[in-house]
Amino acid sequence: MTRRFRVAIAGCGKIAVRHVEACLLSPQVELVALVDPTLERASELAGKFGIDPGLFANLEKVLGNVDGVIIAAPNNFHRSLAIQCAAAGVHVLIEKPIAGSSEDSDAICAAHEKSGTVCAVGFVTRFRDNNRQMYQLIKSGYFGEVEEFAYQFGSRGGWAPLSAYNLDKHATGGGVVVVTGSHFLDRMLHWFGEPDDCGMWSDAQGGPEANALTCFRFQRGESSIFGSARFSKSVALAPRFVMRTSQGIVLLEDTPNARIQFSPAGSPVDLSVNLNEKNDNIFRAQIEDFATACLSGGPPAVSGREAARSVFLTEQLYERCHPLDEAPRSGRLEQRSVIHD
Amino acid sequence: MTRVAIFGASGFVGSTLAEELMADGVDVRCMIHSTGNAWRLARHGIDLKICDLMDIESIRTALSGCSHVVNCSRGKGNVMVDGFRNLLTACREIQPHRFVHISSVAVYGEVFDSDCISEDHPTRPEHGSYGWKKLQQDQMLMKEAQRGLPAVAICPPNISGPYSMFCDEICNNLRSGSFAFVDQGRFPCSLVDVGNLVQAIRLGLEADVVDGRRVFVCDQPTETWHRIATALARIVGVTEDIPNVSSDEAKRRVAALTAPSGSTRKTIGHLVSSEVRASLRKDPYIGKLEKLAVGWAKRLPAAIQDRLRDDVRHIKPAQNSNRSLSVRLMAQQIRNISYDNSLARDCLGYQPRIDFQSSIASFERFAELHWGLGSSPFQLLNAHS
Repeated sequence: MTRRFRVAIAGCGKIAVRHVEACLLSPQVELVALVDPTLERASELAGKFGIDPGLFANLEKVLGNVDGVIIAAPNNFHRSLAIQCAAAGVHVLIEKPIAGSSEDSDAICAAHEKSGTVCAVGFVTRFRDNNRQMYQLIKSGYFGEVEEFAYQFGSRGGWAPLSAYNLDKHATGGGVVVVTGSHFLDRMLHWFGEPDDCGMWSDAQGGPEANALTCFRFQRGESSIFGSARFSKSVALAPRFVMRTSQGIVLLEDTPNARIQFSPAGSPVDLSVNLNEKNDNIFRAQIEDFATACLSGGPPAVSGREAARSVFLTEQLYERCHPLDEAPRSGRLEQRSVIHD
Repeated sequence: MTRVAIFGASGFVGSTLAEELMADGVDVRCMIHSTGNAWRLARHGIDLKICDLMDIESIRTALSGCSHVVNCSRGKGNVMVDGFRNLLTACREIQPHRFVHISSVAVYGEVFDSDCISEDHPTRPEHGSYGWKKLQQDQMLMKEAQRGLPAVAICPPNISGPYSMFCDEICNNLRSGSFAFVDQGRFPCSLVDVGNLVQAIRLGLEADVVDGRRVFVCDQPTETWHRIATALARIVGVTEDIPNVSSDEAKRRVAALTAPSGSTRKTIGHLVSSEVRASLRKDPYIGKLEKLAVGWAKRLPAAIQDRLRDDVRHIKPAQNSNRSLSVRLMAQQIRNISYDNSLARDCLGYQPRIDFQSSIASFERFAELHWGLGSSPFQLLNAHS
């Protein structure tokens, strides 16, 4: 009988609940330890599920007994924890974003490349069937040439981590663009590649922004794809992605089971998402993808290097940030500001 | 004012108040329950204090050095009542110069003796409702004022202006086609612009008449639902006719939604439910009765108890016969009530500065900034949904 992949979870805040659930659902994975400097949180989390893993205040004592660590601590702890794991030859699945800065992202990736361990990043929405299908259909040219897209996601607040670090932009690496927007930025990079220009308009006034409009331009030969994404933590915006292509309009409500709607020449056609039973719980799909990558030596769905691209893009956006009331009504970049790596 | 403590600072009213006071250079201490909803304030880079109203020590710490207190907090379950009691207890100790509490017109319930009421109208909220909890707060405040706390309860109706959830709800319903006028929107809809409400709160922080009384703060003249919905329809680009139902039809739909049928089985099921019992036993008298009743119910066989509990969990709101129209907004229309704000004018010197047109214009500007209203991405996102 094959031994199960042994994991520990470092950081027992709210998102860790989803990871514990995923580990318990998966026959491939065994949850052996919960780690949190506040041991009561680890204990409460174990109690919530009626499980009895080892409970530890620091990672050091765990590393000899696990194959991988899910790093679910605040963003500013990702670097030290991930590098500690790499030094011990332990694979990591890091909650998104990989880190709060490109420098930290590079250090994490370099450490795992050196040790030959897997560094995967938890952009869990990549595991939704509708997002996977969207990627395949864009790449195959099914919708025609993409001309323009717009995305929005907003809620009146919401997620409140136990450590309350979400409002500390030094701990997260930014505001709503990082906390909410990084999922879409990752998908956008996956679908369209790296943009040639970008810009951002936000309502930050010394703290982390609560509202932001981000705009992108992707050069495609002589023409361009113009894209925009609006994120909010103070206003409810129906989560939605709409794309105009040479063949029509593509719409995807940004919810787990939404179907892609394609309206070629104004005639609505429902595209069915091929549901994969395994993906009923995307956190389970994610941890199994991670375990498979670690055991097979193949790449995870989202590698550290791939995830680092969204961190770099976020930094570019913050460098090009202007007041929200100066945002272009066209939703298009008016001045060229080419991104240089 | 040396320092103003705002409890519930991350909410709609609390955030607007905090932003306005900070813009005027007033020293503000913003108390929040959790960081989840505090982004609007956090963007200013200010220090936010997490304060649990159920923990009186947390309140004492928060109030340290504060001369004025504003309570905009809400809360689930017993927080609104027990938490507010804790807040008043702590204020008794620090003796602030002024205490302004945000009450609600919900304290009056749904039955009115006339179509324009003043503050002394009988309060008849449904037991256990939001309005009932706000009424408990008002009564506690009045008692504390009699003991010497200089306090006033500001009582707003629906609030308009930037970040207005009321306007947002109507806009969403208009866009989805689920908003309907009742009797062509002829009924009054009392509103106060959030800027006017903040003005009233600030007046309350300096008022002479501070005996804990409740004061209506609303804009005048009272608008009709027709004026409000048509103004918002223009903003969101709804050009087709807004549906209409008669008041009789609206009353029928509201009654169907709010009157669940009772049964002995359900009643016993409620008694067995731990959630219901937890709430009931907070009242000492009901608590004694509850013990007796639960004792009886607990003598039932375990299988029957389990079945009864399941029945409670499966109780669902009555189905609306026409799901596409918002019955909630119909219920608001048929309340057919407006509020006399002369006490606010006389006692606080309240003179609303922002009229209806300006309030709608500021909401439109807010929507342009935060929804991207009118921009190309907004059109792309919304034209095809």
